[in-house]
Amino acid sequence: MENKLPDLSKMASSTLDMEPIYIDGQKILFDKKVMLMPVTLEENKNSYE
Amino acid sequence: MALAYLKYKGQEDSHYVFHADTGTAKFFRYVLGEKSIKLRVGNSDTIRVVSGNKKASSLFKVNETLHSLRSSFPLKIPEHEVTEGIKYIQLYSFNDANNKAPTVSKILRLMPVRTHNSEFAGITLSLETQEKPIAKNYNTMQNIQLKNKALNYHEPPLSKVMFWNALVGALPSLLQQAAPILGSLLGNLNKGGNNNNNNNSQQSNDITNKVLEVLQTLTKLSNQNTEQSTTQSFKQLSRSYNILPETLLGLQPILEKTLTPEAVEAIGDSPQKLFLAIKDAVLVTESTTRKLGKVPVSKSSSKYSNSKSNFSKAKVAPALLAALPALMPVIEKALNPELIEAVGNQPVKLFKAIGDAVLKMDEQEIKHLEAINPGVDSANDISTLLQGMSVSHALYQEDLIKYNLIKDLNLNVLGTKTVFFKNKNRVLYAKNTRILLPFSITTDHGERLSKIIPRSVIQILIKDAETMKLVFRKTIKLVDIDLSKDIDEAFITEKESESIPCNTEFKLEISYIWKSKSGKNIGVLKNQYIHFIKNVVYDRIGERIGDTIPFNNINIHRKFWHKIWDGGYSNSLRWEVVFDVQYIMALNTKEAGIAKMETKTMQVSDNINEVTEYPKRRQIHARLKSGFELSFEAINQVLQILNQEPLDAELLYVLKRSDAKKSFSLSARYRAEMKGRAGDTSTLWTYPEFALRKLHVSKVESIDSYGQVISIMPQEHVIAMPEIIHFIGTKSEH
Repeated sequence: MENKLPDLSKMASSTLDMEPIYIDGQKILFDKKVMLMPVTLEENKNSYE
Repeated sequence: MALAYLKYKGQEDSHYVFHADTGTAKFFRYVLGEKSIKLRVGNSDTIRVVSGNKKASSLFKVNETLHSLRSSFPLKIPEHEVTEGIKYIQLYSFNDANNKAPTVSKILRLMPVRTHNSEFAGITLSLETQEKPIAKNYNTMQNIQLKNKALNYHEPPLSKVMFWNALVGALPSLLQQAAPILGSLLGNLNKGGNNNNNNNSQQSNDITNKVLEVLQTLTKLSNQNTEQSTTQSFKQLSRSYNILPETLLGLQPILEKTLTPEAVEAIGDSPQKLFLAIKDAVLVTESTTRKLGKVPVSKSSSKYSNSKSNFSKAKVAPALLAALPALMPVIEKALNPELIEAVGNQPVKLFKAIGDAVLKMDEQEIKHLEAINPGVDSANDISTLLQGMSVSHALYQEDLIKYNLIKDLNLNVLGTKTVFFKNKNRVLYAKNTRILLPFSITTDHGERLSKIIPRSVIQILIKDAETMKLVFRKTIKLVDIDLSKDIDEAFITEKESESIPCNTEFKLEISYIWKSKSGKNIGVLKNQYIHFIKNVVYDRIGERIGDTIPFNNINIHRKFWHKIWDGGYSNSLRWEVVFDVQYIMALNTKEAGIAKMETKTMQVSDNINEVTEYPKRRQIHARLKSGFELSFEAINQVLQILNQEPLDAELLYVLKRSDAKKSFSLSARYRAEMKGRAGDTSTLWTYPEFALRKLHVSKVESIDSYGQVISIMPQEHVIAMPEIIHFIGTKSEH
């Protein structure tokens, strides 16, 4: 069994549908790469309040 | 029975080795290709075959002797046949040499892998039989402690780093235009090394004129650019230039009185730091300044003869030049146009307006400001405003000595040396030694006073440069101080500096205070930006080395894979979810492992609320917030996984006590949309890609007799940082 997931971020969802790749028994729908941006983080208990 | 079975075994002697089985079939060939396509067979069946730039091998015949004992055999394919672009392999078996009764195996996917520091690194088949590296990496990964914990981070309402970075990012284009004028300005300053009083005064006027000239040129250039350019930013800047540059220069006298040349240099082009320095200085001085009575002056000179001329070199011009274009976007972002119009050319109003804007970044301060803001714009009201701010100031500094600033005198910090550190010339003090802070008192013209002060006090305050929180204070009582001589009595002992954090920028405020004839406290002060450092000091995380490295191996990197949501809906025929996801990365210096943080969900809309029954198509929109916590120990283990040398214990100690942690405060946002039918389930996973970056540290080389670090040796190490997050959506199949 393959255990290294290729970078699928440039693959169209239709291609992923045609050549399904599974994680944990589920079919991958999308793989989106997002750059992490610097922010100021503060520690506290309630983030949405 | 004929069979075609293929399984990857590993690499051996420049060959990829597969386990092949053809059953009773005696002939076979393998096919390599770029694509996997479906072929229709008969009316309804399909099979998958390799296609696209297909390379088929010759037809081979199995070893019949061995084959009669066992139908499986090792299949070796030379590495050079698996070229870039080849993604798939498939085995065909045949009953005879004429390709009769073909049977095809399942297609195996070949995974190309890029290493962190090279171009395309060839093909590596990412299957589980690569025992050596997997075993090593797997063991290293097993040593990382993993926790699940609550999401206990949030971004302040306006992220200071991103906000100021955006503002400072606007600087280069404007400063570039001013560079020739700025160059001539600084050139003139450098030529005037040993200046007498008249020269000083003349030069000061020249500087002011030059600064005005530069600021006006900047304004014109920006306006011209606005006309030519259609970009939004310049339009916004243009609108902001309703404030005259001269108005900003109204702040210059305060800065000259309260900042050393080195402090001005440390402020550089940081408008935030400049503003805080202004605010802190004004808190002490604005409403309480007074003039000194007639005092005889002396011509005695200092052993630190360069101090005055150094000051004239720096002045406040560069900081103001840099602050102008940066302060304009602050105004544009934070104030409405009508208010900008109302400010006009009054420095006091401008100060208050900018003050209001910057204070908004600190919730406590803005609440306080709202409470005391008189809400009108007269010059007198600034005094009320500042007095109100002083109340806030006094909350943690209630026992500080208050005094009236003498406008005619200067406190000159002596013997200051700078070292190039964190991309600037900075004043550094060693922690493991006694620190001396000599200074002199002179008139505005650089003359000493022939006066002996019977009783006086030196007040030393050290504040965090970003928050202005007081971290150290000390008062030294003095008797019979001769103002015509240098004052060498200010010092910080080794023990006293122990509690002050290393490698953080502080504002050192030295005040010299005595009683006037009327019994009131009077004095002078000067601010300096300093760092305390030990043997090794963190400098910065620098440029990236090579490509990012995906932690995409579900076995090895399992601890870094984070399932942030899973679910599905069974009461509606179909369902659709839209998630606005924020995923944060943070670094915890108090723990040694990693932690997956819980996902917090806030529902934005759900159409089940709009009807009495379950809708046929359930539609949900929600905000998800989750994250991952690293530690320097975990970073060290990541380095080992990436075959890099781990950071030693001393470096880890330094990093934990530095502001390096801030570089690991990261966030990624993504809108994920998933849909399914009744009973379907979906999940949302994340995994990171790490990048190797240069870690710049400095080692102390020499310290002078005043405890100042006068030379440091830069050193480079390698550190790993998360750089990219993958969001992966999955769905169950029927």
